[in-house]
Amino acid sequence: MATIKATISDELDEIFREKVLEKFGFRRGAITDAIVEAILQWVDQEIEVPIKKQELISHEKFTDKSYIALLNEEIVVEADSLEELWDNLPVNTSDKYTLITPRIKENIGKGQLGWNLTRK
Amino acid sequence: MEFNKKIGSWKYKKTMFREPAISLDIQFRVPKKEKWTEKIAIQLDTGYDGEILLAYDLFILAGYNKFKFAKSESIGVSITGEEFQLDRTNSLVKINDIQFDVLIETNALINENLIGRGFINKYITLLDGLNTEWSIYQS
Repeated sequence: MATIKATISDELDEIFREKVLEKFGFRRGAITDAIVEAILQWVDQEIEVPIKKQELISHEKFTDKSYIALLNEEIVVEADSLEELWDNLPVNTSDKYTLITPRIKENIGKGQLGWNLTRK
Repeated sequence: MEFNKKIGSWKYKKTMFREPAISLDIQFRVPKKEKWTEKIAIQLDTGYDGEILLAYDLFILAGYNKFKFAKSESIGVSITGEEFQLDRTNSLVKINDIQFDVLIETNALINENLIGRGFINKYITLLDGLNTEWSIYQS
């Protein structure tokens, strides 16, 4: 098992401990569980292939199809419709693909998550 | 306003609470051999401004974590003001065998399945409470 040491501000520490108490209750190992969860989320976020708008535009030079699946930034599936795209995506794969469809630019920005969002 | 093209209508669903909920059974197009999931109950929540919000566990089970949009600046704000970056994909759903193109969103902290304003605002939505039936029309 590895040990990670880090120094954070008192304010952040206070907020963090409050949230840990709220979610995990007052029990042994709660802070470790919260840190592990935070690290897992961060790692998951960082390993995504970052595709910037300029890169999206550059793919338009290579295909006239509107529905695309990329693997390691290479086009592996291209289609004229969403149905065709999903029909041609690999099944039960362990690879992570990036989809590009005409709707990718919709719903960007802040959005409401519901009247009664509950957390795990 | 004309209500001439009915897309479909669905009965409200009984809940454990006093009033029935505006809830639908939806099948999702997934990257699996069987193509479509079993029917999953999704509740209408006009407080959610997207189309479909899927519990994170289901998003993973469906395999959408393998086929999603690149991380973007799509942020979900909860009723208490907390902000979450959302994972998003574009897939198909079937409601009573009628197929819809939808944006599906989630975050690791989401444990609810909701259908929101982003979906119903594309249609004329009639909530007939007396007959406990929800209908959608194209104008």
